[in-house]
Amino acid sequence: MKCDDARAAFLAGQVGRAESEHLETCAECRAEMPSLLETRRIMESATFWEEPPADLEDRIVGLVAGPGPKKEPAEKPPRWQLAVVGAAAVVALLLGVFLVQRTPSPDWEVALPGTAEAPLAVGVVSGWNEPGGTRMTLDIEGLPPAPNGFFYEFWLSAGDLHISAGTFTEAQGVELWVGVTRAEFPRLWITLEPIDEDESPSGVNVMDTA
Amino acid sequence: MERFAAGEPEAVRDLYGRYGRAVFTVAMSALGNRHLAEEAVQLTFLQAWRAAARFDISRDPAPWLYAIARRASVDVFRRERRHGGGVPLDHDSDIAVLPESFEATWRAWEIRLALDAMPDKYREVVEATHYLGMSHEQTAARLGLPLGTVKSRAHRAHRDLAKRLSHLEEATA
Repeated sequence: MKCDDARAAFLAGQVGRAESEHLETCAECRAEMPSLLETRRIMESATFWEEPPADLEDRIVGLVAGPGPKKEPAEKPPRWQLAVVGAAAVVALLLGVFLVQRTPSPDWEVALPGTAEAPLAVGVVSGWNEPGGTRMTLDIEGLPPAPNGFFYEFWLSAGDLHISAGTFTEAQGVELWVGVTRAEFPRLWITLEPIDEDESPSGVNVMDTA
Repeated sequence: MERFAAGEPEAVRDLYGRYGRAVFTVAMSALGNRHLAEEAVQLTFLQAWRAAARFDISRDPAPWLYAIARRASVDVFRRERRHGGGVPLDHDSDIAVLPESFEATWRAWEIRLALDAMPDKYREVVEATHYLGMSHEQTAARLGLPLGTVKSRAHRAHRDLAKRLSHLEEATA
């Protein structure tokens, strides 16, 4: 009896006498039985076998075929958007940050100061309200690259509910997407996160609009 | 991935063809609701599309896409919790109290990809065994195959599956 055959029988739930004797005496196979059991548990779940609807692919292609990150704007931005950019540029100058003009103009911009954890960091978050969520870019200076074993995570929050917009290790050319709006989640902040399975914000808050 | 990273919308079809079911599996595992899972899948591919220009095309896109799918599912879950489940739910399912653990959704993702890489004749036997809970005799009747053929395919399919997932066993050993 080979290990492969015994494990296949165990995974299939078809363990005969020969397989049973092997599994009882083979330490390597016994060590892998919890993992095989977990695989069986997942495959016995009805949700695992659910198929996506046939039209989902077309819906997704339709979404991305809209205004994308590499497409040039088709129309001149409206006057009110230009006014927002002008006001934001003043904010950026006051912060000593060079604001990179993008087209089309962002729907909103907000200053993102460093906290006591990163007192030299200053930045501006630019946001575009789009169907299904918000696209944002970060223009940040004074935030060092994340140390080994850590990364930065950008959050939108409302009270104690936190939505992650993405992660980065160096604050250069960061572009983020999140499926909520800033109107719903007004607080914007960045934490330094250790690489682990904890998906909630760590206590190391480096930049924050609050 | 080159076309995807270059921003060609039709390249999304290729990526969806390879990973669409696995992304849906992760979303279903985390959310337990088809409507929300579809939303999470759309968010996943949209976010991947937005970040495509920064993706290193020399790397395997699977872990990157899984991370986006997991995060999109958690975001949808948190939003639904905040709004008290305003989106209509399937009658035979409900939003999970808590999302499946990272390890569990990662395993579901890997199993789905492993199954998608197997020949149909193996995958249908695995599905009959685990999803439908059928015996070899019942599977043979359902598929119109000789019993011996079903037994042989079931054994080969599970041996193949165990090998394809051996890296998970190493990770949990």
